[in-house]
Amino acid sequence: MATIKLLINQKPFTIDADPRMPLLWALRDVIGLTGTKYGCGVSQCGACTVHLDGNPIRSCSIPVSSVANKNITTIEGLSPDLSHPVQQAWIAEQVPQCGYCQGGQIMTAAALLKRNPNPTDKDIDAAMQGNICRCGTYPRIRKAVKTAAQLAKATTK
Amino acid sequence: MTITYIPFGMKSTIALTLVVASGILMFGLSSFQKKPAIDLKASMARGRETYVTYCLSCHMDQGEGIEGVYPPLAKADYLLADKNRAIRQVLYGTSGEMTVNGKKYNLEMTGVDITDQEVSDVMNYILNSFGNKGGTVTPEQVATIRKK
Repeated sequence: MATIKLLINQKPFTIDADPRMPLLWALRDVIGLTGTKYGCGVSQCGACTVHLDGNPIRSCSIPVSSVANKNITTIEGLSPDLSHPVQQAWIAEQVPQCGYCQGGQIMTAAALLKRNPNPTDKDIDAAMQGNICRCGTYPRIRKAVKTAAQLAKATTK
Repeated sequence: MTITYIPFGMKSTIALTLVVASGILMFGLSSFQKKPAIDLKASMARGRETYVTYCLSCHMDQGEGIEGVYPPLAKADYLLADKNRAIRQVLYGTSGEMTVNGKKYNLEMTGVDITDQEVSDVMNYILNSFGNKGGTVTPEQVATIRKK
């Protein structure tokens, strides 16, 4: 066990955990942020996606000690009031079905739009490919990413 | 039979002209037969798409990786030391300990099921981005490695 300092959604946390514990378990079981989901455990499904300095990473397979003091954002920290354009678009387009993968989908989409504010269908498919949805909500995800791009432009104007 | 007298100097000039002419012809033929050099810029642009899909979530946007967890691609001695090994790793994945820029890494990387063209594009992107100057990879090179 070790004392590890984390910066999650702009808030500092100090936890006592095995340095090799996956970030996902630190988030869910130690800190109590359960919006980030466990899917496959081997970086193949995208359900556990969070941001590390704005980049989407798979929290299930990264040791918590390796992200100490780094800027982590989870689905809970995307906005304090569901006002993030991706969240607004997801609500408007009624994207989720069962919802389990959607936290990861939203985090990947948010990271994509930060890098590329005007993604084409091809850009969206490329960026979202690592996030699997077994309900098959892909057409709505693509639509919502485009809606989010429009909303983001409208709010910055 | 008429024997035309060609002065010595003239003879050598004709010979030289012939050699130069055939040289030009051969050069012309070989450059005609040689495949056009790959359009690196276009290949890198396609490679960036493949990178975003398969590589970015571990190796990060600028190839910086995460120290001690996911090895960097940016100015990575391990990557630049052996292009063919890198192609094999893209195709078939890799596991076991490796040392990259003096740091040890030991996680499993899965291979990706993509075409020779896509492998060459993503290799060209990685080898020529993030401060790397690692040369180019053609789809044919990938095909020979895939067969082994």
